[in-house]
Amino acid sequence: MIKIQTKYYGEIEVPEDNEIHFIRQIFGFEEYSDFYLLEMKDLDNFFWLQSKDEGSLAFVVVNPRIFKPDYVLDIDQSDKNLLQADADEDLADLVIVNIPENPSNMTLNLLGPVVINTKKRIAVQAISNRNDYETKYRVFPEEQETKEKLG
Amino acid sequence: MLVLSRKENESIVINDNIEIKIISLRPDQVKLGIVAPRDVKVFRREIYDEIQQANIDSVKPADLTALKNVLNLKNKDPKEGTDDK
Repeated sequence: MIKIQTKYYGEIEVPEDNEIHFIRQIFGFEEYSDFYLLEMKDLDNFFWLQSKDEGSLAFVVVNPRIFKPDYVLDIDQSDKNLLQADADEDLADLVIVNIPENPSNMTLNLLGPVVINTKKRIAVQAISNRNDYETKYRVFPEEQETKEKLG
Repeated sequence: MLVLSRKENESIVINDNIEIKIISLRPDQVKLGIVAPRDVKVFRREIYDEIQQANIDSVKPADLTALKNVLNLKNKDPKEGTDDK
């Protein structure tokens, strides 16, 4: 076990070999390669992607199929090569969640999934080949629409 | 940066196996045709910028209690008692 600083849980102990190494880093955060995936204790299906080296850096990630059941992982062969996956079953994909001040407006980054080789514990942020996937996919319809329906 | 002048239907070759051809030229837009091996990724620059911006926007502090409330409210059929290992 090693001790790491986390954004929300303070200092915690994690099994060292749970570390996930990014072969190609999260865009805009190229200096951070090593992360831990931490379960959110009171929120099913949500995880923290917590930087090992920078306690204040953590992304909220979720299995996209929780909110978009027909989500498909469609990434380039070059990304699969980077991930050294023997089979697609070794790959797990998660998407980064953007939680604004009003969480009803939360969005998912479907275009840039985080793809992890769960056996080798290496990862990339990939770019989906799907043209219809957005970086800010709304999970819930806009409040205004709801109000109109009610009125 | 290497700068080359090309006319319509002319092309450049990169690394022996990638060809970029000028398909058509208009005053405000150029149409490119790209021939490359399957494992070469080709994306518009904006895609990278957009993903990077979304990443940056996502690390702002989040109110998890509010998120939890919203999820409970929106989820009409909350799964109960399926975890707590």
